[in-house]
Amino acid sequence: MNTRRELGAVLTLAGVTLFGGAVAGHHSQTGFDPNAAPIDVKGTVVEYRWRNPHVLLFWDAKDKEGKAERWVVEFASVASSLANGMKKDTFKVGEEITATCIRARAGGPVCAQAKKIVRADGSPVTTAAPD
Amino acid sequence: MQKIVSLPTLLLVLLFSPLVLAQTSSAPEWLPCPRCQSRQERAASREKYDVDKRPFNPRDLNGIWGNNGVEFNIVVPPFTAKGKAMYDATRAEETAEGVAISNSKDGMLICDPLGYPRWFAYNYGFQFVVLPDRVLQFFELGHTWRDIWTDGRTLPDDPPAPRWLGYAVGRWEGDTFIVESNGYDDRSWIQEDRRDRRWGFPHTDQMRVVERYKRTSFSTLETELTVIDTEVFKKPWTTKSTIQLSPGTELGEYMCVPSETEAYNSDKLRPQVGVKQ
Repeated sequence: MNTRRELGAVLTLAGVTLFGGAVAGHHSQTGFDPNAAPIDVKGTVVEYRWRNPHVLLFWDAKDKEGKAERWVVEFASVASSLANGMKKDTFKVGEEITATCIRARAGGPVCAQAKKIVRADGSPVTTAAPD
Repeated sequence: MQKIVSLPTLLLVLLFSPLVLAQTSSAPEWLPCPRCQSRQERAASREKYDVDKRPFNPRDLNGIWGNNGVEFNIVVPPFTAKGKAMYDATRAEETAEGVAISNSKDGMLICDPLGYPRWFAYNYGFQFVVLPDRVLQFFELGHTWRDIWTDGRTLPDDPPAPRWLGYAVGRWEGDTFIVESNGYDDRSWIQEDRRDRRWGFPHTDQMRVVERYKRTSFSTLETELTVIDTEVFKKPWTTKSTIQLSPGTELGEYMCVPSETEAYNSDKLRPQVGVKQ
């Protein structure tokens, strides 16, 4: 686990990079508390949208009643995601992942920011530029 | 007497023939876009192309510059009363619970052209292409270009129609390329307010922009951009910056696609702030 890399991923999503200079971004990220405790959401990938303005990942997870909920988390633009080490095939439909993320304040199945994502075998997914 | 070419000689000729060299030498490759490079890749490119030591022509603007745009001077000039009202009107809408809906008044969210000088403030790299009568300034973000006319024409006193990229003319003063422009469409923002992205900096169609570009090394472009809009700001707004060459890259294609943007707004942006759909 590389704490600085993960923090870099979080801050990159927030429009700031650890490595000097502000990254110009598209959107004002509102509706969440960056200091909130993250949650783990385990589920199965249903869509990996490798598109602008932000790459999106959708996965189905079970809620407390056992019903499937469709979660979503965003990454950077396609170009910035490439710079961050992601690729058009980083995620596969059907694969199991666990995302550790800050949930949107509105409470729906929305991850405002992902702190880390791991695959079924526990290996981390690269979503941030290396140190 | 006929000369017979020996086999070794024939083989040597064939080995160094252009056809063989073409087949064995490396072919051009697709290069990454400026924004697609990681920090390490960027450093490696600079080293590979030896940009720090190469000689340069200060009047050569060719090249791919930057990857992120130039943030405007954080010291914003004071607003006029009209300018303050315009600025206040850019504030993002809120949900019933008082949560700002991102930067909802920002035309970028519905794929309006960024316009100029916002494309200077926010881009994924740009490229100058110098032609005999104009300089093209091509932007990856939006996959568009600006014409900077160098054929001696002057700015129109009364532009016939507003343009997102304005009307621009350029000239050299020594080793500095100066660009002046007017005729801007007032729907664009100068830049989102990066102190708080819920707002943006508006302008009127009376805005003028003056830019100065000076190449001070092979890989460095010193720039100065001044926004003059007396209806909005009480003083000119000047931003100075240094833009680095992006060697080993080529501009990609980033078009703002309305359907993609609406899908993002619907699937992520609005749910995140609790907008019921």
